[in-house]
Amino acid sequence: MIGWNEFIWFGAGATVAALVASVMSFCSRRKASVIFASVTIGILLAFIIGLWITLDRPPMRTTGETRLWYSFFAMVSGLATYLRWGYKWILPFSSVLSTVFILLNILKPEIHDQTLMPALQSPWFIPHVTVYMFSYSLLGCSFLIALYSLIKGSDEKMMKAADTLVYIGTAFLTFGMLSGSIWAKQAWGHYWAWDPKETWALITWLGYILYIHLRILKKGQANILCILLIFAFVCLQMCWWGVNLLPAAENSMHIY
Amino acid sequence: MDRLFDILAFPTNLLLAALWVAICCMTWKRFRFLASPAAVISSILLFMGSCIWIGVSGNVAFTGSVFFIIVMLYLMTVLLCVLLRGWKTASGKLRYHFILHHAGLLIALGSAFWGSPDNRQMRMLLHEGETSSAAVHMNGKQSTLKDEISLISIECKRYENGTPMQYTATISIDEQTHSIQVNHPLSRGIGEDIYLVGTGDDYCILEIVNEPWKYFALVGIIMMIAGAVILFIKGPRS
Repeated sequence: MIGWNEFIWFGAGATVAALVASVMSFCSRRKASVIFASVTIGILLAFIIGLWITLDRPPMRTTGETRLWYSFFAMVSGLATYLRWGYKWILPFSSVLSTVFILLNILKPEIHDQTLMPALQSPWFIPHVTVYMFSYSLLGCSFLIALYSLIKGSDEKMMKAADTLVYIGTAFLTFGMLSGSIWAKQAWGHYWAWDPKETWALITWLGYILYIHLRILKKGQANILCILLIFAFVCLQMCWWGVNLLPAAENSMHIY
Repeated sequence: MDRLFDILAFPTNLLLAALWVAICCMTWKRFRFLASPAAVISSILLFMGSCIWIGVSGNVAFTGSVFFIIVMLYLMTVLLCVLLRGWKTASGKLRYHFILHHAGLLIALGSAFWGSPDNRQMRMLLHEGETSSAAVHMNGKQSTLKDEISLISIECKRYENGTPMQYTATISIDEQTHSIQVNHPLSRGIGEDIYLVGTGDDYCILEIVNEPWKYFALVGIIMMIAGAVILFIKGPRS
């Protein structure tokens, strides 16, 4: 029987495999990095299946169980992006994200029993949140490039790097927003209700969509484009946590 | 406003939507501005600006203002004109990803915009053992449902620590028994869903949502998700 008592071994194994995958990725050993990233995913998946059998239900109810899925999907998204785009830094990046959630489950065992409220018990919850977090991290990188370019001066190489990050990040952001709308229909009755969190998610998405269109249409100077990326990232922060500071958030359906 | 919405309800909204599509199809070549980069950028900026206003002020009623309606109509018109101009390449090849992104968004926005006069949202309070057809619209107007609903029982499953795990309302409509839970509404007829939105020891609050255009919205959303997958695979070169 596999339960939370055994997670330390699975977590440690997954973390070590993720670390090796990251090092191999930096050393341009593509095949080895893919194998070790797959091992990390395999270890986490084995634990999820084992826990599922032990609990006799899908492990999606407690905070600890959702953190488990975050660590799993962070690696899956990272590996998919690495396989498609071959960025050396993407696997270390997703490994850090995954390890943070593994450590949270090891160091804070109380979250294993922290129950989720009924509204959050949906198959959409985990992909919706994980995809958003992954897109936030990619778009965070595009923000850093924009900031660097604005201070040090931009060149086309930097802008192309920002473009790829924005395209991949926006693809995940789109899926996050739309999966949220399908879930909202199931839970609250409407695909879109102009809840403060939804509104800021839409503003963020429009910011990146505007950037993509300006680049495709070859409009806007590099400095303006960098400022737009910074602005879009500020909107993303508003959507993530800043929205809670607004008076309008009092009645938000996203405050639990 | 309610009266205007009644006038614009089906089939008027469907006729207006068809008329709008027909006008765009016939005139987009004449008004080339509507498919130009300037129109694309200005429509995104105007819509984004409106959303920022709603986000900062929390004034959701702004979505019913004339200004917002014009912005939405402008955005959708630009989307349609851009789609008409760019759905195939010069050599006649279909641009699948372009169609998925733009048509998906257009269908999702269009179904929300043109379909809104047909939407109905009502709530009803039911006590255990009670049968009723009286519901209240979100604007406070009383209404009578076409069927009577009875609440047979309300059950709360709890975790070991006592916190609620799931609420289940067992109701009867038309002599048929159904269970409703949060995240598991009851679908009835075209576009109608019944949601469990509140519970007490011996009562529940049900929300009856009627959105006949929801299927179009879902098609638009699925097209956009497919577009996002292609965006991920193709990247900036697409």
